Amino acid sequence: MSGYPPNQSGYTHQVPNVPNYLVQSILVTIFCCLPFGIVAIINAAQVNGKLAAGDIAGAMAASKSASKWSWIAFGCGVAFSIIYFVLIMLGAVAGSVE
Amino acid sequence: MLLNCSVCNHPVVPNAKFCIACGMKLSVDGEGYGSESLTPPPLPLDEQQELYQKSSPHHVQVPYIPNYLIHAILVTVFCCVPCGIPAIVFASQVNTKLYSGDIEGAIHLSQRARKWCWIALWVGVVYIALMMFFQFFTTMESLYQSR
Repeated sequence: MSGYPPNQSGYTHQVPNVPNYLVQSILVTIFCCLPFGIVAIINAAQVNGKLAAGDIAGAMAASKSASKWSWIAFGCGVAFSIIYFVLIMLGAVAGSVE
Repeated sequence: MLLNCSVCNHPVVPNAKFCIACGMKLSVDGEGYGSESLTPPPLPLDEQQELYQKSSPHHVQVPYIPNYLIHAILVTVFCCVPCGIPAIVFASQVNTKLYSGDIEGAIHLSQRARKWCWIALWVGVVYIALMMFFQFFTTMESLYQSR
């Protein structure tokens, strides 16, 4: 019967543990960098479905990609906050000098 | 130690790779010393179907189910981030479910993605309308006081 998903045919017990990084992706989307965080969420949301369908290589690739884009978004957020903080401090120093 | 080919029962020497009588390939692993045909035995029918489905997902008849991924990304960026994120999560699972054969699950995810897209859109529209209303109100008030 072709309508059944392959995960009902009896090999769910030997599925390896592939992290999906969904929580990290959502957190960096909200707090760090929206565009890169969306890419991370899209990849992270596909990990479990691919794993359940038996596509372990695809699940690992999506997991790696989600991790990569989460870190990129995190780095962007940190860099942006550092630049923002430096500019605020410069403005405060300039204001006190005047 | 004499061994026999399991197909034609002709005696063969130990560690022979083929039977000299019938040409059948012999397996050399231990006790059985039986024959091993050159072509693998055919898979059971359901395994064949599963293999076909996994190797060429585009050739199987798959219904069109919209995944609303573009809508979800747009409402996340322009309307409401917290409501757009569930829309993106559901939308990006639709195609994976569809190609793994779970059509009902794909339809369900598609409907949920659509629902969250509408929620995010309306939250964004109401938020922007309220901001415009308050901005208009404060501008009018400052104009009235300055007169």
